[in-house]
Amino acid sequence: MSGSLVCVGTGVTLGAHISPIARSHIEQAEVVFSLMANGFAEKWLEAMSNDVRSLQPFYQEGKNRNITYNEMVEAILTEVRAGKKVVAAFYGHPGVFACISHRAIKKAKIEELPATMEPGISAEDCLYADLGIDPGRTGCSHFETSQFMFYKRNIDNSAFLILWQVALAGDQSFAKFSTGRAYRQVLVDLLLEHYPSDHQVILYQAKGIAIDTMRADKIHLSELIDAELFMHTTLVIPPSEKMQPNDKVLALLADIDKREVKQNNRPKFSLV
Amino acid sequence: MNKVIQVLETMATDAYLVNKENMTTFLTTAEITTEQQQAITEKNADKLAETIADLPKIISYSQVLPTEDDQQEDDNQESDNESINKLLASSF
Ligand SMILES: C[S@@+](CC[C@H](N)C(=O)[O-])C[C@H]1O[C@@H](n2cnc3c(N)ncnc32)[C@H](O)[C@@H]1O
Repeated sequence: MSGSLVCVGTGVTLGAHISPIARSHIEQAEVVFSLMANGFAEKWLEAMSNDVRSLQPFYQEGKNRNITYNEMVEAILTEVRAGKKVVAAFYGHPGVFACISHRAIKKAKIEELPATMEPGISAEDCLYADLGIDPGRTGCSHFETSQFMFYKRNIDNSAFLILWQVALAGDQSFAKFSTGRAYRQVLVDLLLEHYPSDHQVILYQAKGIAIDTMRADKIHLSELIDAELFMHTTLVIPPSEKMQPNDKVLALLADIDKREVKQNNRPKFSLV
Repeated sequence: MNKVIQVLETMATDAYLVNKENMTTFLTTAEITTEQQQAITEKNADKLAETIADLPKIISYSQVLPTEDDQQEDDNQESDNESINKLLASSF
């Protein structure tokens, strides 16, 4: 029998977010690989299948994460190649700020092995609900924090800016579990080019289990340097400026409107 | 399933338990220890974790790199420094 891979998301809050199809895939799999955000969730998953294998042991401080991720992909694909029905279960959404599932599916497809992804509720989804943010109101951009620092980006301070993995800000070694004050200072200095130092930003943490308290700490941007950041902290930067009308585009659109009105008002002739 | 995990799952899936009184009644009938009941009432996840002997350890959360290319996805063998240098050379 040929093997297969399904990457599923289990959501952020244990039990509350898992979709029926994700649960069913887990229950019917022969091997389940897991990357959960807390021990409770890992234990919860263990009860859904007889063969649950945590990918956590691949992590090691000081080890390049690229190697870690490739090793995880290989562990998953080895079982698929062996003809097993494999599920890789990730907390949140398996494909949101998460390269392992994308890499595994891509590689499986190259080898002509069936591989698909089922979405999950991500930290992003929780953030919109918990903080009352509608990304459609002003627009919203998301970046991995170090990527945001390493590359020149066009920052739009009239939209929300969400920075993921902020606890790893500026880590060029890809081997740290957290970075310190000096690295964060660089991030803050970069942000200060676009925002005032007293601009209010939010340190956000969604509930991992039902008894957790959601964190939405509002601090000044300059306070980020000494703030308590965890691996699951997301930095939310609300807009500091109003959206500026694009007069050129608005004028072009007004011209089209006028032409359309003229055309619609023209007497209609029909052939008899 | 471990009883405490079952309780956490029920708490997260049953809207009836949003009500505090319902929650208290539920906890007293749940087959968990007094210590676990207390930890849940106090919303103390660390204390609750201590009551489960074989709770798996979470080492990291990260699942994404700041920069990625196809080459990297195949670079299992090369040393950390080599891959970082290559990444940085391609990024700047
Ligand atoms: C590698 S990404 C994984 C995201 C995950 N795939 C998802 O869909 O939510 C890890 C980052 O997600 C964010 N994150 C994870 N758990 C979170 C939580 N409980 N609350 C807020 N943000 C969280 C943090 O920015 C963290 O550094």
